[in-house]
Order: sequence, then structure tokens, then C-alpha cells
Amino acid sequence: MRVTQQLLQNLVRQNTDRAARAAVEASRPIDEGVGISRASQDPIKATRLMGLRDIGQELDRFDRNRYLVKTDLGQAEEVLGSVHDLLVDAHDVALAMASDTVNAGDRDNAARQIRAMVTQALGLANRKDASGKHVFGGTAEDRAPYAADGAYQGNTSARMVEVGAGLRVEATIVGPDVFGPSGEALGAMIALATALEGNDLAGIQRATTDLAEARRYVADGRTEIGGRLATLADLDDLALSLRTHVEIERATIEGVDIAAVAPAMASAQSALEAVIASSKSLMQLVGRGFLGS
Amino acid sequence: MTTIQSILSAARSGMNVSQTLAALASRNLANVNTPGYAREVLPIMSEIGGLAVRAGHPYATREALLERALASTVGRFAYHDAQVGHLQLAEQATNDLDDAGLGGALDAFRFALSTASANPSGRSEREGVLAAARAVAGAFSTTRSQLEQGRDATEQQTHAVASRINQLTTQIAQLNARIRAARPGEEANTLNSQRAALVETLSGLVEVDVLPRSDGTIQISTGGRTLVELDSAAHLTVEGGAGSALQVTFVRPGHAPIPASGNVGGELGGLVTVHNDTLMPALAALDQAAHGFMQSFNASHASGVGLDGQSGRSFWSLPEYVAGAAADMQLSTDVSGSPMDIALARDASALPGDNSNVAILDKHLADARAAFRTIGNGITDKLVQAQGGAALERGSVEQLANMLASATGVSIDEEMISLSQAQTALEASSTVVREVQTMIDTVLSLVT
Repeated sequence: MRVTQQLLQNLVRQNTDRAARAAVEASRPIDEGVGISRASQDPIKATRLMGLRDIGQELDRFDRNRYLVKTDLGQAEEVLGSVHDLLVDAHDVALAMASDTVNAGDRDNAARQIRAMVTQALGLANRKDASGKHVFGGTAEDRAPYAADGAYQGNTSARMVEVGAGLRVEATIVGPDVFGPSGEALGAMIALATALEGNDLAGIQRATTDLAEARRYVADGRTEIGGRLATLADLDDLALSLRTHVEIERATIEGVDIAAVAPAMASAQSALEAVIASSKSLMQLVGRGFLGS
Repeated sequence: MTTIQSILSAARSGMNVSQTLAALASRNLANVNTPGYAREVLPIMSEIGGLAVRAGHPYATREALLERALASTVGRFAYHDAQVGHLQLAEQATNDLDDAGLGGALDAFRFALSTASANPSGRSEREGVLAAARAVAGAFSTTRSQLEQGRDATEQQTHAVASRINQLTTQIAQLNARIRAARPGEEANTLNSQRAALVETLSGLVEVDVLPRSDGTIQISTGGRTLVELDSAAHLTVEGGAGSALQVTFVRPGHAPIPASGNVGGELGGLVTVHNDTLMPALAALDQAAHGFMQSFNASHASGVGLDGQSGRSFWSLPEYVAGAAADMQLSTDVSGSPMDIALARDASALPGDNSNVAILDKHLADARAAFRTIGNGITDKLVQAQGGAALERGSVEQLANMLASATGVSIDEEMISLSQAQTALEASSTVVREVQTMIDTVLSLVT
């Protein structure tokens, strides 16, 4: 093969171009701050990365939804706890007032105490959340679920919210599900107050039984809501675990591995310097040959 | 019989050839970096029946096959390379790896809808849905605008490249005419070098097939059509554009314009390909995705109910035509400014807490997301192909260029040796002349 001036120039240019491209490519992850920023850099990794991003987006959506649902259900659980306490107190009052030794005056006083409890219980049953929605009215969130006489005014529709991939939980609470099908929790307290006001011993005894029944409704409702919250907590744990895996894999694909990039950059830089140095020597030799020195 | 005259004649011929040889070596050295220049060689032969030598016409050491292969390979490299830059811009416009752009806007819309599904009666959540929808409209418009700019840029560039091709082919045709009339030797070689440099430049703009003719001219064809024939060059134009496909057309004097029968390759072919096969389909697909999304989203939205229990409302103001839909996305007046009228529910009796329409609306968003990703993947596939093709052809171009440089380039060492040989031969011829002079002087002194 003849070694011509043009061939030498070609080789110098080609080698320098190649070494420069390699140096630029080696330093690209550092310049861009990510291992892969466009799909064409590595279509297979990009496809995986997009899949991971989709999972991340879904996790974000589900996290947000779980947070909102948990807030509502947590408040409902707290309210039911208070209602349950009121029913316990009312039951204690009923038991005390069911004694033959209690006179009408004591029962009248107790009736006022129970009326106050009824008002308090109604207030709890008609509780609104931070955004102004009634908690126990099903999806009829814009009106008070219970009337003063304990009648239910909400609906029995449920709002399902997606909190995991293909997993929906009921985010609303239908009053009858937690306060009894006929509003037993409120009704028993109202009946007790009425019986106390009428000094009706039989009525007081019936109310005692009804209150115990109402407590079971509220306790069952609270348990059911607690179950939903427990499911959401489990999902939180699962989501956290999944998110951790996703983030680790994303970081592996997307992140810049300095330990790998630094030697590659140093190697490419050394190669470029070597090419430049050899090209310089070659051109000097050619120049000296041309000048005959 | 050898006479003094014949000896002097032989010495003179030797001196002449030496001078020519030295001049040629100098010329080769002077053109060592001239594009298209091929090393010239001087054929030297002895005179029949005598001692004298004579030089023929210097000829350039051209390698027609290599030059032809290189021109074709350069065209293929330029075809891929011209696409890379435009495809990179298109990939950037449709990049789904960053959280910005249309992909990010669609994800944000899904997030806003999902949040509203947890609190469908919330005003702030509904306003969030409208804000996210406006961002989607803006992102569709921006993405379309970027793709459109890319398409327009390729159109402009094709016209510029076609103009440059026409200049080059005209010059090559003129050189063909001059080469045919040129004297063999230095003049023809110089013109050939100039023409070779022009062909080399032309081969990057359009993939050419160069056919040398016995009269020294070359015929150049591309895309199944003749571009240069003798002293005549076809005028190349690029028809179409402004939203329609580009078509390369050849116009020869006195003939009807004819379209290229295939891809013309080179930079021009690459630009036409990226325009016709990538950017235009991507724009059409984006418009189709936008229109289809708005249409299906509207249908589901209309069958849902707002907080007032009313149905039949549109969410998007649907453009009349699919073309340009991505640029014309905007919220319908039914919901713009009226977040409570967004139909998140399907059951009017379950208001205001019903969210049963959200999952249906979200499905359309997921479909739009998938459609956008398909567009991006298509562009990425084309870019990867173009980058792979360019890398492959770059290697071939380098190899062929090196082979050609080795075969036809100027070697300084060889030329220095040639100069040295010429000098030695000149000195030898001078010595002969000097010795003849001495002989003549001796003879004359004997006579007198």
C-alpha cells in the first residue's frame, strides 16, 4: 500500500474524529447528568425506563388517592369512636336510671344529659371533613345525613376510588352501615331520653337493650372502616416497597455511575491525547521529509 | 552510425525529459492537498532506433472504479447523516424520558383526574382538572409546532441543496465540454481534477452513478435519471412541500419534467425521506391522536353528568378537521370557567360524590398517552436506523477514501525521489554535452 500525503491526512483526521467522538460520548453522561436522556441512546433501556416511569406515575396517583381516602376514613373512625363512647355513657346512664330506687327528678336530670348527648351524637353523625363534605351521607355529601329526629337523609351510593392497580376501595360511608339500618345509634339515645323524660322504666330498660345493640352497630362499622384503613396501610407498605424497587432500577438505568464513567472518560481522553500526539509527530516527520532536513 | 549530432540530440532529449520530470514532481508536490487531484505520472520511452528518450503526455493515476464506489458510498452516508440532525430534533419534541412535554402533560392530566375522583365535588380538584387539560392542549400545540418547524426546515434545506446540486452539475457539464476539447496532458489533467472535486462534492448531496466515457466526459445519473450528459445538465427541482410530500423532479432542456423514479439518496434524498416518511406522518399521527382523543373524551364526557346533574356537555371544542387538530385544542365553553360542570359522574342520583365517569375518561387519556408514545417510538426507530446507517457508511467511506488516497494520492517521498532522479538524469545529460563539447574542441584544435 502506497503511503501518500493524502492517506496520512485521512488517517490523522479519521483517528482524531473517532477519538474525539469517543471522548464526547464518554463524557456525555456527566454533561447531561443522566445515563440516558433520549430513547435513541439505548432503545431497550429507554423502553424499560418508560415502563418504570409509568409505574412511578401510577404509584403517585394511587398514593395521593390513598392519602385522601385515609384522611376521610380516619376522620370517620375517630367520629365513630366518639359516638361509641357516647353510647357507652348513655348505656351507663340507662343502667343507672333503670333502678327502682331512682326517682323522677333524677331521671329528668338524666334526660337532659342524654338530650345533650343526642345533640352531640347528631353533630358527630353530620360531621363534615376539611373540604366541607358530610362524612356519613354516602355520595350525598352536600347535605346533613341525619335529621334532628335521627332520620337518615343521605343516600346508599358508594364512591369507589382506585388506590392500587385494579384495586378500588369504597371511600364513602353510608350512615345506616355504621349507625344502624334504622339509625339505631341515634334512635336508642332519643328513645332513652324520651323514656327518662316520661319516667318510663320499661322504656328505659328497652333503651338499655337498644343501646347495647346500637353499640354493636357502631363497633361493627368502626371495625369495617378500620379494615379499610388497614388495607390502605398494607397498600402503603406494598407501594413503598414497589416504589423502592422502581427507584433503584430507575437509578440503575438513568443514573450516572461515576465509578464506571470516570475510567471510561479517562481512557477516552488518553486515547485522544495519544492520537493528537502521534498525529503531531507524524505531520512533523512528513514536514521534515518535505523540507529535506 | 552514431554521429556527434545524434549524441547531442540524445543528450538534449534527456535534458528535456529530466526537466519535464522535475516539473511534474513539483506540480505533484504543489497539489498534494488539492481536492480531486490525482498524482500525475510521466510516461518515458526510448526513441526507436536511437539513443534518445522522449516523454509522453503526463497522465493522472485515476482509479475509476474506486472513485465510483466512493461517490456512491459518500451518497449513502450523506443520506443517513442528513436525517440524523432532523430526527434528533423530532425525537426531542416527542421525548418521553423527561417529565416535560406532552407525555408529562398527559400524565399530569391523569393525576388531576385521579385526584378529582377522590373528591369529585371539590372545586379546587375540578379546577385542577381544567388547568391540567389546558396544559395538555398547550403541550399538543407545542409538540406540533416543533415537528412543523422541523418539517419546514427540511423543506427549505431541500431547496437549498437542489440549488447547490444544479450549480455543481452545470459546472461539471461545462468541464465535460472543456475536457473533450482539451489537449491531453496537463490541461486535461487539471480539468479532470477540478471535475473530480466537483463530483466528490456532488456525491454528498445526491447519490450519483458516474460513468466515464471514452471521450473523457462523464455521465452522471441519480434516482434512475440522467443528471449530466456531455455538456448538458438536467435542472433538478423539489416539488411539493407546505404540508404535502416532497418530490424530486428533473427538467432537461426541451423535455417535459419527470419525477425521480426512486430515492435520489445523498443529503437531498435523506432530507426528502425524513420529511416524507417521518415528519409528515408524525404530524398526521399527532393530529389524529389529538382529534381522536378529543372526540372520544367528549363522547364519554357528554354521557356523564356535572354537579348540576346535566349531561350532554362537551369537554373539548372539537376542531372541524383532523389536520391541525393538535394545534387547535381548546376547552369547550361548556366547561371552560365552569369546573363544576365537568362530568365526573354518570349517576345524577348519586351526586355530588359520584366519580363513576372518571375511570372512563381516564381510559381515553391512557389511549392518547399510548398514541403519543407510539409516535415517539416511530421517530426513535428511524433515528436509530439513520445513526446505524451513517456509522456503517462512515466506515466504508473512510476505507474507500483511504484506498483511493493510497492509489492516486501524492507521496512526498516518491516525488522527492523523482526529483532526485530528474536531477541525476539532467546532470548525466549535461555531462554528455560537456564531453561532446570537449571532443569538438579537441578535434578543432587538431584541425587548426
